Amino acid sequence: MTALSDRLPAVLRSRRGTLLLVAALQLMALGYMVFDRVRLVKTGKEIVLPIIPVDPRDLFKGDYVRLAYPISRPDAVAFSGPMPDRSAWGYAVVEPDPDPARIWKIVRISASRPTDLSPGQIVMKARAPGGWREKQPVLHFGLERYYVPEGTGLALEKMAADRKLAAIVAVDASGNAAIKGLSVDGRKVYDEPMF
Amino acid sequence: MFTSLSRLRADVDRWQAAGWVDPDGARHIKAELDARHSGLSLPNTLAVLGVVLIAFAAMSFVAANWQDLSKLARLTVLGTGLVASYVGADTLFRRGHDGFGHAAVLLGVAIFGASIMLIAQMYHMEGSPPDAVWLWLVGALAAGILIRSNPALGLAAILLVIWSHMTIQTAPRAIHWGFLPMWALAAFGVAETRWHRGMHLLALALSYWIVVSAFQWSDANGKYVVLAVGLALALGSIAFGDVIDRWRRISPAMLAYGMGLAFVALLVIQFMPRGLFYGSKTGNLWVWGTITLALIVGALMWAWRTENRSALWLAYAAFVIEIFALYIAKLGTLLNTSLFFLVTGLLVIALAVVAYRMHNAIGPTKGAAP
Repeated sequence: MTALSDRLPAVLRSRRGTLLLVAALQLMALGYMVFDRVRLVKTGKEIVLPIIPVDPRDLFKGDYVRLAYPISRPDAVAFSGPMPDRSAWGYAVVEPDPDPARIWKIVRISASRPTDLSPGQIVMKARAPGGWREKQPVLHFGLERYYVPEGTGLALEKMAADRKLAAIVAVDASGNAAIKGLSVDGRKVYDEPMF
Repeated sequence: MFTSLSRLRADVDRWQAAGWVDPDGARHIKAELDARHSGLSLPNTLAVLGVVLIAFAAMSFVAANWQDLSKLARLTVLGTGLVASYVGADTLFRRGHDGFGHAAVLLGVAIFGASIMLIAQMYHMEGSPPDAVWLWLVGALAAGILIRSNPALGLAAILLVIWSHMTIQTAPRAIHWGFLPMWALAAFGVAETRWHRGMHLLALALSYWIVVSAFQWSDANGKYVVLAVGLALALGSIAFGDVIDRWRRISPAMLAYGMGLAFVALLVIQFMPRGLFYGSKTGNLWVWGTITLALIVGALMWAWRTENRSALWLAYAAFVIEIFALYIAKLGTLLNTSLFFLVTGLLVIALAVVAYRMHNAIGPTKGAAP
């Protein structure tokens, strides 16, 4: 009986080979994380979402600010069709309000990716950490954390409480979303450099 | 303690070339050397502790979110650290400092984890937190299996439990089946390096998963699943111990972990029948108390016969915990409790007499049991 290690290709039998392979695999994984994010922010459609405070008493926790949006708690009318499974992704169809404020709101939510979009509508992928069958599910779009330098969160907390804060968000064709920056009264305050 | 494993392995190769050792023998000697080398030595332990400290330095560096350094510079610091760890490991392995080499591999895996967190932070990825730990786990498993590095496998075992715990937090009431294939990969790595402590780490991780999954499946009936799995493990180790041990000597541990799981389940059945947080009502203690004591005595006798020390001590501990718990919970009245202990006491003494007779019939090769 030969040990499994004897049947491996030569590169895996030398320790140097395996060390280099592991380093390369890990670097590739990290590189892909960065690449995927940069692609999303660079090519995604830009929308602006006003930020509402999650909990005025404990908005700032550790070194990130928790963010929530009007679309985080959609109206009951959005939930007409079949709901996604508990921990599965759901697809929210969003469009801007026709009023001058042009706040994005959810039109409907479906378990599968919708194909029949009207002009101006986009799809955003969402999870419901508390479950989709709650009375009013809270949705997460992957936009709920904004990391800030140590000790600078309080200023943002105050701005969010005054409802002046908005997030500039990029959404790609698959519905993935990423924060590009923050704005106060329409003026960019935090612009996220890619590198 | 400072003998280099690489030099010893080279010696074995030389002996094999000289024809003093046949190829099969050489492989067994090397496996034995590897297994023995996983034992603790002071320099290696200190090196691993140093790595843990540096890993925490890297994590704090990430948490500080220091904006004076550009994203690219921060990524470069960690990427360079990652590559330097593996290059350093290569140098250390080639010089025969295997313990330090494995510490450097562990550092590489730790920096990989810190880098994942850093990227998530830099790009404000909320994502699903378990996914980040999963990616780290995959990196640790790759290092552990490909480089045959026990510290990386140990970290993987810890990450397995953290990952499973976080997954359950985000999706309660669902069994985390994804745990099993990742556990199997880690078990494969530990089986390849024959790392004894790693086997225990993985056994603990699996025990954790079995208990949590059973109660996730059904709060009321999960305890019976844990009992069944525990008994199956224990009986499996008794019935197929020889076959299993021919592959790797794990049947004694299987017996001990099976017993542990079964006993935990029996405690819940007896003393927390309505769940962990629902008052002090007890189950049918006459029936389950008798079954528990019978199983403990049976396990004790088997452990004694097979000289399985961990199972023996586990059985002693279970016996003490069980009778104290029964005494406090009471079987109806104190008088009934007294009757129960009297009858079971007489039965165990009867067993002792039978065992003594059998022991003498075989021949007094050893002193009588204390």
